Amino acid sequence: MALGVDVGSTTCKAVAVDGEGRVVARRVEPTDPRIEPQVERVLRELREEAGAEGAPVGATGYGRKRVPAARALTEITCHARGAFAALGRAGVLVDMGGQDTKVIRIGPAGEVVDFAMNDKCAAGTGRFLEVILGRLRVPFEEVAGQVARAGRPVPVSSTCTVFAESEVISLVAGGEPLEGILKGLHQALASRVAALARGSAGEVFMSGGVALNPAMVAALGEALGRPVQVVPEPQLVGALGAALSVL
Amino acid sequence: MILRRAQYELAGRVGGPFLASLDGWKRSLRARGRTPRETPFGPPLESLRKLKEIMTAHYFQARYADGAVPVAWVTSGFPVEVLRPLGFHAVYPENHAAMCGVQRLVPGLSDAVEALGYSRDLCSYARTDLGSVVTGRTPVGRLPRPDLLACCTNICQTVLYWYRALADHFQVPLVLVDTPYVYGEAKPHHLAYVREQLEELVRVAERISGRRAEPEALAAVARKAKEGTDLWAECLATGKSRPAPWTGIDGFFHMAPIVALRGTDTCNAYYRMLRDELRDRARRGIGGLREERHRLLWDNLPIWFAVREVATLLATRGFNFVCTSYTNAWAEAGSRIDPADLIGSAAVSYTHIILNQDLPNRLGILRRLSREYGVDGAVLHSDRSCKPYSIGQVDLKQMLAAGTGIRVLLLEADHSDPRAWSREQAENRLTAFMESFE
Amino acid sequence: MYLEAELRSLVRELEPFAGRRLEPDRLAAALRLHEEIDGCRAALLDARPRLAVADAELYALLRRGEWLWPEDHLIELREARGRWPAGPVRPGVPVLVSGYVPEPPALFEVLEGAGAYVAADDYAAVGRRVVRAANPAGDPWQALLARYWAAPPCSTRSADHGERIRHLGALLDRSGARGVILHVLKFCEPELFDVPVLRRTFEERGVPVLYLEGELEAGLSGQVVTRVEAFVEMLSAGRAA
Repeated sequence: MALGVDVGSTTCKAVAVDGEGRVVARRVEPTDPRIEPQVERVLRELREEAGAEGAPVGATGYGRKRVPAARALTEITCHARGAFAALGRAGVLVDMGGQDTKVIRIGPAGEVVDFAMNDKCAAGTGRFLEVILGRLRVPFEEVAGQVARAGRPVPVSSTCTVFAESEVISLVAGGEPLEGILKGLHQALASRVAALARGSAGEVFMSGGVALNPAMVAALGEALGRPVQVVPEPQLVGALGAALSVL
Repeated sequence: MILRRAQYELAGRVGGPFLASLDGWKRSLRARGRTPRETPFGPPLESLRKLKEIMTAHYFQARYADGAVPVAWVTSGFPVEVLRPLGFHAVYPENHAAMCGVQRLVPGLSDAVEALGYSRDLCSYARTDLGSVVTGRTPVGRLPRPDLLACCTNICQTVLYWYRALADHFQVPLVLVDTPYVYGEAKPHHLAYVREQLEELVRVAERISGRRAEPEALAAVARKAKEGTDLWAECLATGKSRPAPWTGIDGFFHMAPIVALRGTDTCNAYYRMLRDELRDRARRGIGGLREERHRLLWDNLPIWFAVREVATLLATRGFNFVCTSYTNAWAEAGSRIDPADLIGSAAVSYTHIILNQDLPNRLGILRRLSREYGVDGAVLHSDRSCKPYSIGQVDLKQMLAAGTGIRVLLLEADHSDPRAWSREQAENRLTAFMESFE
Repeated sequence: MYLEAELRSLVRELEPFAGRRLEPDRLAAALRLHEEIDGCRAALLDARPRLAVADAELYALLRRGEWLWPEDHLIELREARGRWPAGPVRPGVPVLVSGYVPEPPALFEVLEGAGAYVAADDYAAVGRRVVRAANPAGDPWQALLARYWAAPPCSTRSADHGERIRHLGALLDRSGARGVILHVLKFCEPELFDVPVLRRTFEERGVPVLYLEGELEAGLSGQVVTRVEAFVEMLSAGRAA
């Protein structure tokens, strides 16, 4: 058995896997500023739940160096491993997290062939949607439905998340339909992410918390001109990869 | 005037070397009594001491140059060989700006010129230099006032605007050598144009220095410049050994003489010494790294303010930069110099430096270096404020990887402004890159 | 000289694509056509403070010159002179705009809405391309080169600062502009390097300057709108910078 923890800047994810690498227990929580006690508690809970006493720990994510682990690897390596374990084939993985977005080209043996990261600007990450949806008070569960119902998308041009928020408020005040604005937001985010992935040919997979939003999956597919397959349990892909690296 | 001249000579021959040895003595005092740290690097080069002495002397002497000899501020790609026989002391603002970058002085200097309206999106070397000129702040004590500004656009167009700002400030003549960009091959009328400008340059420089450019003197300097270039190329070539006897980062520092002292005996003597030391280390299997596991190529300028950090991060896992397109450029710039026709051959040589030629040529250079030095990976530094060197890297990355099968990373940073650099993100990317080799 | 050699070299490369040689007569005719076009454009720009037309419409016309066949553009330029007769100086705060390209077009609506208009144009894509020198009779190649050198000073052609300052000073005087907008686009280096000297020059003359940084593809941001409106309010109140 093995344990894997992905300490992201927004959420902390952890899994326990059995000898065959199957996930038998899982946790997803908002990351506490005090990472060490949180990770310690989460791992303890998983060990109990999965009967994984003594199992080694693999760590990834920005907080990985603060975790007492047998191995600490970057999210790039772990996401590739996790996605390959889940899907068993090569492709282009788009991982959209809270504060960064990665595109990883996975080779036929599950190896990282190439990768690109948008780690400079929140406007290309999950935080972009989170901030604005929060401000508009649209619950996450309703987003996909609203976007699907929208007619013409209302373009949101600001390249900065904070300024985009102001722009959206003005649009709402100006009487633009909310669904159209939501659609425009998704398209704006998708086009930024697609720019990272455009050079890569092949099947496209998606992981990360944002992949739980069907509207985003659809928007990304449109922007890339290819269907996008969501990796099962998309938020746990990194933690899975981390666990597999110590199994 | 004579007294000033005497000061200048004394500063170069005595003052500078003395200062350098003082600095070395201070360092060894500090180091005494400290346990050696665990380092991934091999033993430091002996030649480094001499390098420091030379560059300290060069800058110390510079303080006494104005009023003693004619002073020219010169771009790194300028055919300085034409100025040397006329007795000019050449100052390299780019070299000075690199030092400011290493010492993390750029944000303060840039703030000073940003307050005047210069955008932060402009080249950080230009902002550093103009900032130093405007504030008078410099880590080298004092830079001499120029009598002549000499600018060649072969490295970029930015220098034209930068040097014009210097000309406005100092109210001295600016001589421009405009080298048309080479697509495929330089046309005869391009080379004729450059040649004409060099001939005009000679006339202006003669007027300012009050000396004539004698053919024998020009030929002598041309020979030295060619020899220096060839010696530098021999130093770089030792990187082909396994393990490479030095690191690519070493190369960035040891490059200073071929840029700032090209065409002098001091430069050539230094590279003879360095070459011999490197060849000796290569023969004995002494590497720049204790354990070289992967060999990398670096493209673009270094990240001056993070040079040690980046090198150490990579060296800890056995990754070494065994070649760089930047240090290689100085092995090519003077390679076509012909003492029998300095002006004509300089026109050809300086028009064909890497940054003045098209992308296919740059790809060719990267491929050739990758092959000759046996690299398994490459890092393309996407330099925020150096557009000419960074443009096309997204395509070069794909083409280089496709052609050679090596792994290529695009790393965004800046050559001297730490405000355009995010350490956490950069380390994460470099680490992920290294993991992909395992 | 180099420029001539380079142009001739370019023509030799283009001839096979066009399937014909460049004939001097046709070059001369093209030069005459473009001189006439520039004459109309210059007349419109010079008379602008007295033309009862919105900036948005004027710039749409001038920019169409980048797309239309020159003959078609000349027709609409001539029509415009008829449609917009010169009258009294139009209402609004006159400004001089110097920059790279007049993008996005919505900027002019904002200016108009704030109560200002572009009285003098120093856009690299518009005013700085209008050549006013008369065509000397004779060799059309020399005339072509002369036109290139005679164009108004532009940072992208490395114009001397003294020339730029003289040219802008004359524009300011002729148009009566009360403020200057430096409309810079990321990351146009030649333009950016000229900003300090231009700002200094106008400050010395006591002319308020608005430094506006935009991007080529983005729409108009709230920040830009606010800045423009605040600047015009400042000019309207007659307060110095």
